[in-house]
Amino acid sequence: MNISSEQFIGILRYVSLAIIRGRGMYFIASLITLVILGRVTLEVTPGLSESAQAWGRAGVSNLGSILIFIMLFSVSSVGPRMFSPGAAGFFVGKPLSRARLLTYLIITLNIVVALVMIASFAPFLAAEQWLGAQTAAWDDVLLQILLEFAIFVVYSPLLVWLSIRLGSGSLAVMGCFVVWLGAWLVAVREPFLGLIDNQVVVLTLNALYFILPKSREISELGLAGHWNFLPLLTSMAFAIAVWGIAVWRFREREF
Amino acid sequence: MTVAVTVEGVTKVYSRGLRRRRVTALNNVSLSVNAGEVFGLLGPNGAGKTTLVKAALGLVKVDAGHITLGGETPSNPLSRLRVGYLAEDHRFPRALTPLELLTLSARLSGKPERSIRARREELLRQVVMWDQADIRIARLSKGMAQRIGIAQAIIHDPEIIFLDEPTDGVDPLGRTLIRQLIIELRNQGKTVIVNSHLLAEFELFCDRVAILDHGVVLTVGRVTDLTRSEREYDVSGTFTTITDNLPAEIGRIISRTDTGLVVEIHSEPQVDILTDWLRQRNAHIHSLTPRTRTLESVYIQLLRASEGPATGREPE
Repeated sequence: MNISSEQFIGILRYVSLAIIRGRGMYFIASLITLVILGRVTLEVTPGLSESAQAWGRAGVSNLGSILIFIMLFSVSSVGPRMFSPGAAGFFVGKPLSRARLLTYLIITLNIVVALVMIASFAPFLAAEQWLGAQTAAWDDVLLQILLEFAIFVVYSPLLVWLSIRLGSGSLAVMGCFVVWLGAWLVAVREPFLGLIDNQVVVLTLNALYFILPKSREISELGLAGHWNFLPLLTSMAFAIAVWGIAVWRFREREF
Repeated sequence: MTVAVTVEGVTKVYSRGLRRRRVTALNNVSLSVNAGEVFGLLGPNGAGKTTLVKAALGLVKVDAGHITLGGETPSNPLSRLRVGYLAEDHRFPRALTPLELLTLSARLSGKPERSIRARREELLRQVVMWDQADIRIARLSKGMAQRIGIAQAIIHDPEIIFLDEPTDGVDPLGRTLIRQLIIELRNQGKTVIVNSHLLAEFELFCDRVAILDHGVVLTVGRVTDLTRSEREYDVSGTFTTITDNLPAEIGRIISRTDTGLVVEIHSEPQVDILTDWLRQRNAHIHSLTPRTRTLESVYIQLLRASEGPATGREPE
């Protein structure tokens, strides 16, 4: 095994321990359980009206949005802990380029969250196999959780950059929430565009739509058999751009 | 002699605060550290010692000059492949245990876990932390964390080791352990660069020291040379015949007994004149040795001599 692999495994192990011992994974697992149980309960409860089912699905979907922020919050403290004054020397003083260090951190955060999600979902998947596929709820929930993870992947470089820059995981999550809210507002801009006189503002809002991550469109992916991967691809482009800026800024930083 | 670290004309200026006030942390610093020696960086708070170490490790970028570590510049991450570092105000990952920290440190330096298992235990035993090997760092005292810090700095068997205030917060027993460890590292041929305020310790294990103040190197030299007085001598022998005073143009006798004199002369070449003067008076000289000063007195003397306009002491 070469030096890079050892360094990657070292950071992966550290990030895993930091998240597991920070108890963030229990929040993620609890919320995934809640989403699955909520969705399955809706499916298997007899006599539920269409409107009650629609309300229930909206509730479960909102739990999914909360899950994204729980995931972000659970891992938000890792970056500031690694690069706070006093701690940075341990990591930055090693034979590892800063670009690689930051990239490894972002990748390992995603891997650990993915593993936590798989571990949380696995018992339910096993239960489904054991019980027999009695309902389509499993597939819907699996897709929903996968899409929420995709949104987490998109936001993770922004979270890491903000958390290191601001030195606070909470502020970084708030920063991500502001971008998420902005992206949501831009996504539902159509009805309001007619009310805006200023062409510059209209153009800016339209441009922002193509720049900001499209959480809303990603979470609706596959809904009613509608598969449009363009929002996912442009959101990934946003993530890559943020990663590039983060690496550039991180290389210039002094500790 | 192989040079392990070279610092040539290094200048570092920090901009601080909203007004971007400029503070010179290092001002045209040049020095070199030979392979296999223990080199001490001395100076008051804000002298620039920590900045110099951070610049060597690539943690801060210099504005002018250049540094090499084993021939490589700090901008090349591989220059740190054979380097160990203990930061002054370290905060190791609190979620890890000492065993996990040592493993992480080795892995980040490219060493697999299986290759350091034996050394990990040996080092933890050496710094008397084996019993706490599975306790999270968050629960360890400052002194214990310091000892773990030294172990993590050398777990991957580096050639050059930077220790910034290694005995800070450590009890006397721990200090002795750290001192022994540093001496052992020197015996193994490692280069050790130490920052410390505890001057008495420098005398015990440093081969050479550099004294810095306001980002300027005041002096670099061997501890024995720096502490040797050029003007005061201990003369032993029989001096019952010496009743008069030393002529003022040679110097003065500070204290006298029948078997010993403490003499201050104006300059080193006057030693010959002094011995002639004593022999003319039938004194029997057994030995004449320069008096040694403490490193602390040398340090204070140099700092007093260099006192100039204050430039701020924030960057350390």
